[in-house]
Amino acid sequence: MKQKQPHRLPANSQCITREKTVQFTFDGKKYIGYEGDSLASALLANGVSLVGRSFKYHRPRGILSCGSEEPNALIRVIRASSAEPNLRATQIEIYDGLIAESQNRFPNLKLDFLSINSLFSSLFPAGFYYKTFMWPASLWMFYEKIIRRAAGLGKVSTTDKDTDRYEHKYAHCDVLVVGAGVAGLQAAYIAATSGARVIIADENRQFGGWLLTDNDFNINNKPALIWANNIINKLHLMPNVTCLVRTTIFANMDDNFIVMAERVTEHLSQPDAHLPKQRLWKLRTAKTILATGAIERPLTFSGNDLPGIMLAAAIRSYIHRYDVLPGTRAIIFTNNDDAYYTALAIHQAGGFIRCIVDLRDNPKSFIITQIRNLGIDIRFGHAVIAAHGVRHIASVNIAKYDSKAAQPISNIDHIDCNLLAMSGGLNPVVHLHSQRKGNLIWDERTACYRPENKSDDWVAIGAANGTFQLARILSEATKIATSIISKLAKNNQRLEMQQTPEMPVSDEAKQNWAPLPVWSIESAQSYISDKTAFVDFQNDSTVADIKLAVREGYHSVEHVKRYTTTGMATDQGKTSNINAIGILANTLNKSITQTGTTTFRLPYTPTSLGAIAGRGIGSLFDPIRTTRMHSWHHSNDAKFEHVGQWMRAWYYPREGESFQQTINREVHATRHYAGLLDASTLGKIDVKGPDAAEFLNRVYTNNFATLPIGKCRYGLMLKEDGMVFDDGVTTRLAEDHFYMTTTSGGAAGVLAWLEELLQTEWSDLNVYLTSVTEQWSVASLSGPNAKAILKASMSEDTDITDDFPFMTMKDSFIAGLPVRIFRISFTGEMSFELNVPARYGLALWSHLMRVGKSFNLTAYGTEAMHVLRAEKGFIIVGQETDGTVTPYDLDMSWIVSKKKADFIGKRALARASMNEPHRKQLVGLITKDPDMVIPEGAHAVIDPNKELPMAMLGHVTSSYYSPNLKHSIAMGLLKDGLNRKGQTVFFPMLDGQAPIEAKIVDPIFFDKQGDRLRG
Amino acid sequence: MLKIECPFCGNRNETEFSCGGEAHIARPLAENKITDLAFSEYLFMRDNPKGVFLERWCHTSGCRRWFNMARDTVSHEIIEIYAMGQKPKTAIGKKAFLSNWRRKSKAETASTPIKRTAK
Amino acid sequence: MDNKPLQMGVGNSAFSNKKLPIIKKPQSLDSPQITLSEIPHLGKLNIRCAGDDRQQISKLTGYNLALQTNQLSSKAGRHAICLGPDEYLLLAEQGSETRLEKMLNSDKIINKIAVTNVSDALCALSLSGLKVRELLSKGCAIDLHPDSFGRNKSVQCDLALANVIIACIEANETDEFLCICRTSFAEYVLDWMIDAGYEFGIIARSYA
Repeated sequence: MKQKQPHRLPANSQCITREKTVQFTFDGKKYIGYEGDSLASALLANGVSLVGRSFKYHRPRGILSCGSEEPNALIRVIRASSAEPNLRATQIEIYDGLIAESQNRFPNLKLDFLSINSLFSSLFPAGFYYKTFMWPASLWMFYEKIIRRAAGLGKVSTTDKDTDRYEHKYAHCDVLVVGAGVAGLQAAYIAATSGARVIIADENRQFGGWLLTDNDFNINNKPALIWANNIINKLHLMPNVTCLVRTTIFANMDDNFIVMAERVTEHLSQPDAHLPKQRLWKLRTAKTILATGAIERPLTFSGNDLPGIMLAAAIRSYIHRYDVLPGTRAIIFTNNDDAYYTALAIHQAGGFIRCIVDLRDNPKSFIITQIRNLGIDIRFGHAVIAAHGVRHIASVNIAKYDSKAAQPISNIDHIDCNLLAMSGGLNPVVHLHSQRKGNLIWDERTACYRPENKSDDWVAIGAANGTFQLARILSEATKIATSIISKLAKNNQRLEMQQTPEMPVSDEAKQNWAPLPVWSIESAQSYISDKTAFVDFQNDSTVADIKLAVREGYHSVEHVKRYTTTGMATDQGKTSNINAIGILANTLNKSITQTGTTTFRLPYTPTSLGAIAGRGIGSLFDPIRTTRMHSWHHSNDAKFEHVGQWMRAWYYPREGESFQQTINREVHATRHYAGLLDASTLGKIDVKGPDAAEFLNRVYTNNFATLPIGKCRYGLMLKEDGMVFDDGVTTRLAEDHFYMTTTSGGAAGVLAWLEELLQTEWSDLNVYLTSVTEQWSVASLSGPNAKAILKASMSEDTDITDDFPFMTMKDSFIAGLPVRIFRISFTGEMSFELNVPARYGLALWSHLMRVGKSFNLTAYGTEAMHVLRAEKGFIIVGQETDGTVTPYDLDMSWIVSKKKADFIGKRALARASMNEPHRKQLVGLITKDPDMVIPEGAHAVIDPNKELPMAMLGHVTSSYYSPNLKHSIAMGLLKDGLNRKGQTVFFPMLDGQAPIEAKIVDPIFFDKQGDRLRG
Repeated sequence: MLKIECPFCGNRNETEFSCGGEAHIARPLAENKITDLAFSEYLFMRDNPKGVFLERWCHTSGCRRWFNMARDTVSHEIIEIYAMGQKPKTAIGKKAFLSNWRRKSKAETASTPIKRTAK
Repeated sequence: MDNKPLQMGVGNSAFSNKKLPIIKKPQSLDSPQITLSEIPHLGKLNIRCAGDDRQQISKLTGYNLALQTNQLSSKAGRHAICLGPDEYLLLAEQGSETRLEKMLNSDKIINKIAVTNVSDALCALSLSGLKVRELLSKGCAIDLHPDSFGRNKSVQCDLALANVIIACIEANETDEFLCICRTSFAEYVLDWMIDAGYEFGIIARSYA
């Protein structure tokens, strides 16, 4: 298929490959472009200038720029795997089969129903939404739906997942150079020759920056691009240099932590599966050189948003980089010399310059003379008052203009055209500087904010520093790179600065870089409205909006920004911010410096959430930790529950069994025969050292110094505020060696807390802590048959089951495996916790299940464990406690030593407020209806019929059906609960269900004397 | 993201560390009976200055050692890093330490054994 | 009753639930550039000791503990890694750790020491190949450039969402690294590495 590209020029550029045609689709229509084209250049080549509708008024919009600053041409790209909205057409590289569509239009671009908003633009001024939908608040729900449909930019993928691959990468370097234009290339080269590790990155598909557009200068007596290509080739060959294209540095953070997004395969028709679509680089660099260039400012006049009105330098880029002439009859509207080069480019490309409209009165320079000699009509001291057209610019109004008085001072000329190049001066790209709170200085001469280079971490050079002339850029880059490397080399032997770096010489004809800042063109004509003089193209804010904000009392630049939403769109006002400040300054009659600036924040350009998530998705979203017995649980159809990152066996349903039936069976079996629980996740800490006993005495509420070797003791640990922090059984293995267990969820926290105490509070104690949680696999054997099973699992010579009292420990062997056995209990039955080196966990478990078969041994999961311990009124820290519960609240005063002089939390427990009668205390609850299980978290009240809102007494912390007691049991924290035993409370339910009635009882529901566990 | 120089592991990312809050909060000795109000200075009261702050940090993902840091909460500048149990050495750090209200608090006075003065 | 010593006398590897080898590579590559394997049941002892005792411990065990934090010393396949100012990890051939533990605990000269057997608590992975550093850099914030992370350098840090010890055993064209993590994180680390290694080609296989 050979298709005409009406705006394509004869082959000239090196940036596109004319031999390689590329077919793509825009809004359902097929087009042809060339390899190297951006979507914007290809559309322009095909004569497509209308590419989107604006955000608020749905005005027709075209391509304004040729870089990442583009506010208008926001595009949705659709792939088989995903669809990504709000991409800038100027940055999208076309590939065979690219499917792109415009946004914010219905049903299509040319006929957009919501463009009716445009006719009523006077109804949608700044602050419209704030004012209109404030009252009555109850109607907001109604307004919101309508507003949401009308607002919003772009549509995300309709499939539920983005299946593209995004990766992360950490990197380190001595020098990061941001931007590979003249300044960046020269600085990177100097840094690289010193041996420094250099990363140079550019957001475009090739290095060279504006030299790719403006190549009519010589460097070292050769065309500038030859110089650049030579440097680029050298950089690519140096092993200490990483060259990155299509890479946006979007965040500059503390201590030179830099984040950049590299678009790796996004531009390819058929990307390799093993390469990511994007790679997010997290970089730490010693020095950052910001060679980010500058962005051209639009001029602000009525109708300045029509398709066909473009930034002057962008037009020059389309001509020189892409061989595309966007229009044939052009008006140039400028306040500086740079746009004259665009006039020259259009002229040389065969376009017709209708006239050059220059706001300056009588500027003189080499280029102006050159243009004048070509016979081009130049009108000094003039302005474009308004642009007209339906979906494309068709004509302009021009008049002589007094920029001081801000008014036209002549009759208005009407000139037809199909292209308008505007240039309001250049803004250095200071975003990365601002992100680090770098100051900005208003430079009167060049009429721009440039960075104040004060930091040692980063420095801006070239156009990013407000230096716009080639010769000066080269010398600045050379000087600053040399000085940075010299500083670095002082502390780094790897680096060696060359004596005198080569200074490239440029023959650039000096242009008169003194733009005349005129922030908005006032028409002084009633039929020309400043409501269509756009400042922020993406958020549709106008000169009128800013003036209105000032009239309504918003004078701070930060307030005006938020009230008018200027600079708050996805482009963060790259083309609008300075104009807005200028207009605000004029309206307030202040200088720019007095008006101040807003702060640029990261990211520099919108960044895909996929890139930020990286590979931390799906099964890699969060590590899943399993015990060594996991495969047994798995092959025995266990259901699992997540306990922190651990995956624990929850219950083992048999065929046809419901959840409750399973739990009932497991609980029943454990109480009547025996049960086996995988308790490997229990936190375990080895406490070693001569002061170990003293240390434990200080961190537990009860006494551990007196614990004999081989004995176990339950301990309660508080934080300094007296609140319960953890509990567990600790065993003395030797005089100076304890084996502490913690809750599964608290293991890491307890170790960290104890380490903190040892390092920061009691560094004099000779104690070492080591986590051994995963060194041991633990099977907890429990029930009336436990002892018999243990005996049967051992050979005669290793049998230690006789004379093995409650709360003691023994070492032995089971089937040849070394095992450490603790006779402790969390079920209320006689229990043995069997610890083996973790690698033998599965072997031990399988062996016990095999041996236990004839004793009715049943594997039980965490749910049955909860029921068993709740029947006994055993607390679970984190379930019965929530950081506001003291041992006294748990009715556990027996565990708080009265004798010890001190322990963590002791003084806090003595605070007067601890005795307040309203403290919530742990009680048991038995429902009137034995089958009714109160939902955990339910709130207790005394009288459910009282008027709302009623005072609540407390809440349920644990609640289960007890198959042994044949009724439901619960524990809860109730105000003054210990004095309320015997009282009745109610638990109001949602959805009109009747409140649940329950009696407050002692929380030990089963075997109050504890005969069973002592055996 | 700050770059923090662990005294043992060298420069690492902030994400490897955890901040333990205000440094130099001395624990009152149990033998020195103090009022609830005085104890609350130790238990609850924490500084949150704009400017220099003396903090405790732990290299959680690395060597798990605690250390002290003097940090400017406005500029994020790390003024100095010094060992647990030590006091700041820089002039700025010293000033922050000495001028802190805690130096005169009853809770801090109660953190050392009370000297019995001979009559 | 079946009380005979169990078949699996050596115990389970951290990857008992995985079917090795696992190979993931781009179609364009003939063979993977990274090899990954567990070193099963490598003896691991955590040592906490005061500076004064380091010499005696070194003398007894043959390990060189005269190390700075994040340094490694190797001798005949045995490695000592310094984890902190008073903390070391000794890696020993399978089974020898209990002998070392006993020896250290019964020594009379050593004043202050805590020896803890963590052989099963930690899992050691061996990583080798041309692109190991690049693989690790996808999840590790440490500067792994050979200039700053050469032979005998080690580090405790985060690798993606797991805390690990990374040590450089050999720094040459086919770099050899150790990666030690908590055993319960081993499957996550393996899965992460296979995913991250896709680009370079990776094979996870049993230790040979």
